[in-house]
Amino acid sequence: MMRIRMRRAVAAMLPLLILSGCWDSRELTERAIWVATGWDAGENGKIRVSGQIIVPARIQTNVGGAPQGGSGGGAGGRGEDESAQKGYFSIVKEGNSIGEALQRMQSEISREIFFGHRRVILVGEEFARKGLRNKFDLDVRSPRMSIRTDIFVVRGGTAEDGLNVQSVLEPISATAIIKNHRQIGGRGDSAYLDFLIAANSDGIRPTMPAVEIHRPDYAFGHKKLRMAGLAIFDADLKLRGFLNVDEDRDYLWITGNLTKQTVSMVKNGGGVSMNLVHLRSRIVPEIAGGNKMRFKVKLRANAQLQENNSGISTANRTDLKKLEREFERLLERRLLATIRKVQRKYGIDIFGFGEAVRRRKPQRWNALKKDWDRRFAEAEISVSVDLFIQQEGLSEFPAIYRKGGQSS
Amino acid sequence: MSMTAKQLFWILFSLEIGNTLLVTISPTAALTRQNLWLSYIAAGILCMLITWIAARVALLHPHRDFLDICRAILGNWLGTLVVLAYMIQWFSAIGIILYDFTEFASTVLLPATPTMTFAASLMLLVLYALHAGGIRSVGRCSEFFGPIIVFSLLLILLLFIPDAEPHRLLPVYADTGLKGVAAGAVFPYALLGETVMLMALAGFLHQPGRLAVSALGSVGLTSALIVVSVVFVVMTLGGELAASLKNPLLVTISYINAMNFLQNLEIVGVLVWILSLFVKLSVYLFLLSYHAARIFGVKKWTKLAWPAALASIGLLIAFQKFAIDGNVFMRSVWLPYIVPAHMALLPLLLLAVGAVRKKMRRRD
Repeated sequence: MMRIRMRRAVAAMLPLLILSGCWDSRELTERAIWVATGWDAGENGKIRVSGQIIVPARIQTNVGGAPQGGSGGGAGGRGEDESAQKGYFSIVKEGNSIGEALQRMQSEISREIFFGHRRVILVGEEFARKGLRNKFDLDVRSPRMSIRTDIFVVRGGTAEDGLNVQSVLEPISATAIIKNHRQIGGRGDSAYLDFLIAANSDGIRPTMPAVEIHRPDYAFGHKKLRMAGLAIFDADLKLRGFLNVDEDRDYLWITGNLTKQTVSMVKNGGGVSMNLVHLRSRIVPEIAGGNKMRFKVKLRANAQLQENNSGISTANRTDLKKLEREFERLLERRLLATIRKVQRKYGIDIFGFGEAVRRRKPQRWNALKKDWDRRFAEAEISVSVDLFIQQEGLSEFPAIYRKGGQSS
Repeated sequence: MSMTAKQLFWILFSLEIGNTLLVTISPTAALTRQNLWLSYIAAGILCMLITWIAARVALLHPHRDFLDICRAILGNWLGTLVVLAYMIQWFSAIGIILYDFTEFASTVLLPATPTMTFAASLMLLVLYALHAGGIRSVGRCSEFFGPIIVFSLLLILLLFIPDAEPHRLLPVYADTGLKGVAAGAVFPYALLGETVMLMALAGFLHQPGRLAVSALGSVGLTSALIVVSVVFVVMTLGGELAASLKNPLLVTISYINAMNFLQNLEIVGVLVWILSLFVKLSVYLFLLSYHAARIFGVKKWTKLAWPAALASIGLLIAFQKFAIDGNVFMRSVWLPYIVPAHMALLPLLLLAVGAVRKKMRRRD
């Protein structure tokens, strides 16, 4: 009896040896929270990695009061005094691999770097032009980094500089980039996954949103970041060029990623603008005889009249319909111009016309996928836009309905 | 020591779902891309077939254990040999599960912890469960874990919806073809087909009449949940990316970002997986020590559970030494040998010979 009890006691103690293990215990105060990564070309083919790490003590004071450097003065964050108040600091190291650079960084940081909160990657333009193949392994392999991440090319600059720019509104500049991206109706944090999927497909070429550094008046000449359109990559994952912000919207709409946009035109001497929401897109391939590819891009959106200074009454259905049609033609011309530009200037199928063929005509695709970019460049593409004006705002008539010139 | 039909249902479900979701998606996607899920449907149907055959074998001699069944059908020597062959399968499965589990736990969860602690603590837990009541306590655990697994998976599937792009499933079938779908189905079948252990479990069921219904129901639920899961993996990541990742489902789960605060849900997936592994290890260790005891004439099978567990740890160490992971093992042992022999030929042989013998005996 005694022996059995002893044995049970020992058996009960045994698990304590292994279950109480503290090998991997980590305190929050032992971690350096990494929020943004930058990749640049280093010397001799090395990679230059920069990182933005939160300084917790300063974040707390910032959350309570106004974010430091509001619109008044010291928003630049340059020089020792100002950087001492930032909610983060940036660190840069070079290495033959990302891992090596990270290890060098760690030797300067008292806390273990923690990547679980990384939400932004910036890629320097030069680095992107050299090609991004063989650069993503660490990210996908490591269980500690999420692929739910915003990723940008810094147009005309380096990622290092991009990460050093301080935002006007946000204490941490990484957060500012993410929020800004959301505001323009872009892909947000699915941009990285999008890039990876496109890089793995035959029928679509990868793209990344782009940011650029500028010196706006409101920042008194200090550097700020702004959205700068779209970076285009070829099948080798080399950066080949950019589209501007408006063309980027067209691209996002065609690929089904645009969440909102405002379009405007001048009518009867006054501006009219519409907010487009619920934007949808469909690419219909029509393979004629021969090898000529033909595509129809069918776009739809719900439109809300935002402002109407044209003197046209929205109460009049036929006038409204006419307006709707004019907007449709305008958009069709604009989108077609963007597609043409990509066809002629780059000859890279970033829209996924090839994917549309693969999805709908898989038998034909095998023969077509070789040399696809050339076929795309030669393809005949038409665009049709279908708008539904669903909401006209609170007023039936323009605020000033009286025709101009009558009283004088 | 016996279990109810409901417990059998949850045992089969719990032990099937975890590893199938974790290790088979990537190799299957490498062959079938966006048509991944077609292979899983095919594997599910094949699995139902072999489960039904295994149930028929067990029902030839209800209330008898596997050794008795095999001996009754094939004679003393051959029957024992067949049981030994299955014991090798169970033993090696324990080793490889421990390997994959320790590797996963140390790379993803706790890198600084000595790997042996994972294997040792899991095996101690399994031994505890077996000592507490053999297959019945495993059944009770499954009855409790199974619904938790179903609930967690459904929750995850629900959270997959916002990021799912149905067009990533296109084109359906056309560019993979029957050959591709069949080739891809091999991987999920290699794990789903482990339901052939039903032949050895059935003897512990106290209502053998409900054997086929609960086993087939279980396989049906498992396959359905797995198919829906892989459909979402493809809709989120696309077939190409799924093929290049090691654990596409875990990546898909980590991609969830519901309302900007439900993030990093991998831990739910890991929980499901560990519950599932626990049930699988328990069942295999039980079957292993029970049949070893029967063959070697040991009265209490629990006496062999400890040595069997120790031997499994030894096998784990050997696997670690020669760097044989689940992937290598699957391709070099499981696919060429275990799948055709243990999950197709042997059950068919047992059923054919057993049925003929039974008919002849009746005629006499």
